[in-house]
Amino acid sequence: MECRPYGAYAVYDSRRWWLLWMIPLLRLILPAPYTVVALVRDLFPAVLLTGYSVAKWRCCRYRLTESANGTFHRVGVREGIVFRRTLHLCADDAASVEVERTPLLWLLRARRIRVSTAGLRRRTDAVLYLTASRTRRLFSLNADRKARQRLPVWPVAVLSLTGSNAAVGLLTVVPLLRQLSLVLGDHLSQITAAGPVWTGLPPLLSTAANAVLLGWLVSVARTFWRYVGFSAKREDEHLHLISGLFTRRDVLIDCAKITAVERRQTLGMGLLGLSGAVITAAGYGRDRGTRPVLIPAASTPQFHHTLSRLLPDYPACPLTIRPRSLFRYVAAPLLFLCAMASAAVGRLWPPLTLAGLFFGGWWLLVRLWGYDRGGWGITDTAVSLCYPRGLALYRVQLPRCVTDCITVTQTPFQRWRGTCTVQVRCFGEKRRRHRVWGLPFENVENLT
Amino acid sequence: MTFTIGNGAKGWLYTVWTLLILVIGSTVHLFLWWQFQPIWWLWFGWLGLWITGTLWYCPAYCRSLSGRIDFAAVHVEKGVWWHRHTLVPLPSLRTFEIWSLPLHRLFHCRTVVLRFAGGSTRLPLLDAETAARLTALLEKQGELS
Repeated sequence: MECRPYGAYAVYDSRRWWLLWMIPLLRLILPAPYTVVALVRDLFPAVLLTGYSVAKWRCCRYRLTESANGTFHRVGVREGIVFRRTLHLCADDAASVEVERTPLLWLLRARRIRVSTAGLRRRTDAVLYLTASRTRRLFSLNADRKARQRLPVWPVAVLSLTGSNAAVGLLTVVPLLRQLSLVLGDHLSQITAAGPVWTGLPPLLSTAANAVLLGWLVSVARTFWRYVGFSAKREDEHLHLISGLFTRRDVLIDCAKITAVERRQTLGMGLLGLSGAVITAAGYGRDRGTRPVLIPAASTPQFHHTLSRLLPDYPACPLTIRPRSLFRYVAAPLLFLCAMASAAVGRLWPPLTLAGLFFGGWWLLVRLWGYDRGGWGITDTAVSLCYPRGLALYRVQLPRCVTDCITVTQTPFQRWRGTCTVQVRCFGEKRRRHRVWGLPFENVENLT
Repeated sequence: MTFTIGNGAKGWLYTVWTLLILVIGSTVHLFLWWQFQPIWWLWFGWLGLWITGTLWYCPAYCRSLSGRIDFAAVHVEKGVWWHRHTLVPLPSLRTFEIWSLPLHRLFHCRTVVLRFAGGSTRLPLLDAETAARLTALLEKQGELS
């Protein structure tokens, strides 16, 4: 049975032309007189392109085939006017299905469904716009809340504040910019010949500091409203994940397509005893902005309990080989700290060197933590790695069948010390390489 | 089921080839005219290239594509300079698509794209009916499996 997509298709397809509707507003800023002819000329491209999106919607057709119990079985999508595309996709081949409800879609009583298959493609295979009721029926999105693993709010709040190292790093830039604006302001006030451009720098830098602070606050808010109320449930061979406060996302992932489970802890989360889990599943997490999160943040007992409920049969193994070479872990942060210390001794702009010393010290702590907890293990069914990357610690569990290649590398120094670096390459949408440093070579050789 | 390039493919190829020669030749000449001086004898070179493409490459390309689909896999052979034989097992197929631009529709041609986990393969310039029959057969094979 053929049907047209819901009208939200036209709305979201024409979204890319919304900036063109702003041209008349920009023209108001200009001193030139505004005539009706100019208004029509300005709006013509926007009207034309929006009309093209509406025409695309009218030409688009879905052919949805339902199985015996009324769930999604097969879809054929025919869309496009100039570039016409007909797509056929079967539910059995779908690795992940993401049902999205933004505030606008909630008002329109529609849902956006992204269906992806396993593969190297960098985009979602099919994007459908259906009514909310039909979506619930097709994808069995029932309201059964009892079997869901729900997380408390406070770990999500901690995750929002500390989970993004880049966002936290922005906070160190704010006092630097304010200090710079004060220094420049004092310096320029003593120069009578300073032009308008130079005297505008101090307020510009203060504005930049405010913008950076606002950016950090927005990052915290975005992370919080993305993961508050996160819940997960195992439904037969699928994981059903629900997340989002304003934009709700229901994600159905085929458990057989999960190729890696990563436990992630920043130092802040580690000090508070929190962990998060991220999965790598074939066909999920391709689009920019998607986060294949399984557990955003939970205390250690709840983390293990939730993981055992959601993925009881996922292969795992302990870490059998621990790192032996501390130098490899601490060399880079120590070098950075020495550089900052020498800059401090040389009295090179104290706020910058202080921020650098703080960052270097934090980095050193993360590396020491990674050395203490790091390791590698392998059994007949699973491969397990633990290593620091950036400012976080990752514990990765991989089924052995998705491990494509293991590389053991030794530099001349490592050969002398009897240590090595182990790199594991595996199939997945993101992060296909995992590396552990400073392992004892003899033990690694015996294990592999 | 076997398939080859459609009858309209020749018209599509000749049109695209001619447009390509015209566009590239005009661009090169405009550039030379602007920078140095017009070199009119270059047009004879472009004409020679066009004749070679029209009389030899386009028919060779039309002859190069062939394939068949059986109960196990899709077999595709294509390529003029580099001949390629592609085998796609039917269970590996994830999705398949039919593409067409206005020029394709003018000459009654379609491009079928077969997507599998490791990538994709294209069957260009099939006849529209052949493309429809091929995708219907793939759909039916998918149902049976």
